[in-house]
Amino acid sequence: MTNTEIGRAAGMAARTKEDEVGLDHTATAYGIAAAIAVLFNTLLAWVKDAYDPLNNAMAKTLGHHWTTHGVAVVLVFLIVGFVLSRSSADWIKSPYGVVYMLCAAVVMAGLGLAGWFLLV
Amino acid sequence: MGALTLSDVILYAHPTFGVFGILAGVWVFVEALNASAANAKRIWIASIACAVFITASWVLGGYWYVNYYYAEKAVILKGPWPWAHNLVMETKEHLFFIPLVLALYLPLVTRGDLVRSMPTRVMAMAVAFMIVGSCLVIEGAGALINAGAKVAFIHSGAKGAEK
Repeated sequence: MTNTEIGRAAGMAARTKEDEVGLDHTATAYGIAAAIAVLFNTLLAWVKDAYDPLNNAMAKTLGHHWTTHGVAVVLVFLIVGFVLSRSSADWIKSPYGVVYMLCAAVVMAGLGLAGWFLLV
Repeated sequence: MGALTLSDVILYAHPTFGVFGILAGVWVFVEALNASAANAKRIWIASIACAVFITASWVLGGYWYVNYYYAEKAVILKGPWPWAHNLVMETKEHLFFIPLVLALYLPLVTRGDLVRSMPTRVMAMAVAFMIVGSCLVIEGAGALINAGAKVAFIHSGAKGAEK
């Protein structure tokens, strides 16, 4: 075995050990909550834009529909994250599962918003 | 020199804090790329700074949007670029909540062990990257909305506006 091969093998072993240590429980819980919150944001934007009574109710709640919308999104993130972090369940087994989930949610939520206001 | 109003101050403080948030996001990304025991504290500080700046941008932008934007909206809708409100502002005002949630989440990731845990490091870099990317889109959208109001004023027929 050459020195290069020994070094490469050692690097791969170190990388495997790094991969074995996943996101901690709180970061996983709030990562799932962040994915849910950004998708909720897009869904709420669609529904309130299509359904005036909801828009009016949100405007009455905190003085402006946008203020209520923002507070609702942040509350979803904080409450879902808190509930999941208190649970002992192992939500996602894959070490990179939450990363993929959050990235996919952000891309879908962003395109969903732009697409909606482009088409409607 | 004309008087600087509270509306002007808030309007320009909003994207300024957004830019500070972008810079803090880039800072987190670069530090996380080279994560070690030596820079763990800096990564944490940068992520807190990012959360504070993006939250400040949200509060300031939200205050201006709720209290002052209605006049500019009316001007934009009567101008040649109504899409600056109907498409760009409508998207921007909701898109903003994405980097806000990500910025609030970032310190929860960077408090973890970025040196020993590759998934934690990748998550910190991914979140920082998405904050920077979405905030750059939002900064560009803000410039388009401003341009929408400007072209509306230029086409308003006000004396000297066309020259």
